[in-house]
Amino acid sequence: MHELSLVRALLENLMPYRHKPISRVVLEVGALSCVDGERLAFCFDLVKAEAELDECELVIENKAAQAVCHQCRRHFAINRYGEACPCGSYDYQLNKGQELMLKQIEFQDV
Amino acid sequence: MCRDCGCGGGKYGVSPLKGAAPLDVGEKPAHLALHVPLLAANDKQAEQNRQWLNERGILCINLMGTPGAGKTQLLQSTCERGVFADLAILEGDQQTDNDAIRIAQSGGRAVQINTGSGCHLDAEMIEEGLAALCPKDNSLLIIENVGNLVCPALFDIGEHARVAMMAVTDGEDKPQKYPHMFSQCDLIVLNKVDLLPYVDFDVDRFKTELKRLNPRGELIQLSAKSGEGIGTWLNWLTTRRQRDTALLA
Repeated sequence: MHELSLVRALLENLMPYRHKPISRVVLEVGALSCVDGERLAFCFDLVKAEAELDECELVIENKAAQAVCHQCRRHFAINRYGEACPCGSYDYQLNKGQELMLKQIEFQDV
Repeated sequence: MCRDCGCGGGKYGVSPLKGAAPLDVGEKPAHLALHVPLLAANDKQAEQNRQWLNERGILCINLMGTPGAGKTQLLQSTCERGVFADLAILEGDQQTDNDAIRIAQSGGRAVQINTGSGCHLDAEMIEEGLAALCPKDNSLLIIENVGNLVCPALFDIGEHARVAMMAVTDGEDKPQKYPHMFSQCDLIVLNKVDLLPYVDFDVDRFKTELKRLNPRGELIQLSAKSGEGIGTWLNWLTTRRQRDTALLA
């Protein structure tokens, strides 16, 4: 379950900002990132108390995937791996949808 | 100005990888736009591993696949053929050093990495593994990842090429079920082809799906046990090594 490793990575990324209570963490998760947002939220809930982030809300923003076709050069929306470009080609490069990003943090009013 | 909400948050100019000093954010409600890859620390370590390998002319292959695909058997056969006298192997498993022992019995040199509860190898484990293994300059290094088709695909460990391996006993629809792994590898190895007469595995359907997921990926069908197709695998390693060494030089 790599989502737990990702939560650990998230906590490490938050370390420099723990001087004030964090109220909200926004993650950007690409549709083809191989990460299950619900499971990520579940893992975060598991460690929240121990990490002293009880009051922190985790927001996961899903990001749609896009690819560039090597054949016809067009940019097209893609929902899953193995889907063809509208031109029929399977030879393309994903350029959006694999993100796994700590986008923003918000601090509590104190 | 902050590109998310126009709040002027950009003035904090924070780069969390470099400037780790606490910030006095001041205004309320305060937020900080970061846009940091969650796995930035792993990716940075992976890049350092790759650099370390490049400086020594070592080609590194990340061998991933299903549990029971026959990854260790393939490495044993590779060692036994003796084509790569300087082959060094890192073995990843949750526990036991069974695989490193099997490699040693086949005349290979291996260091075992136990991930404990971890379901994949990460770049830091490889850094430690390399320190213990001390591969020779200009050698070939193969890292056998934890048998798992999901998690290893997400973690760059500093490899030069990725291989995804499965067996005919796993079923022909494995690439469709685990597309992340199979769409992002340089080579797919289909093992246990000697069992094809006994199992329902539609090779044509398998190839069609692979072409859709990974049109540029190569496919090698072999039997690590009988030796069928092993020559093609050894040739692939040789070619890859020549090509990458030329690029490094």
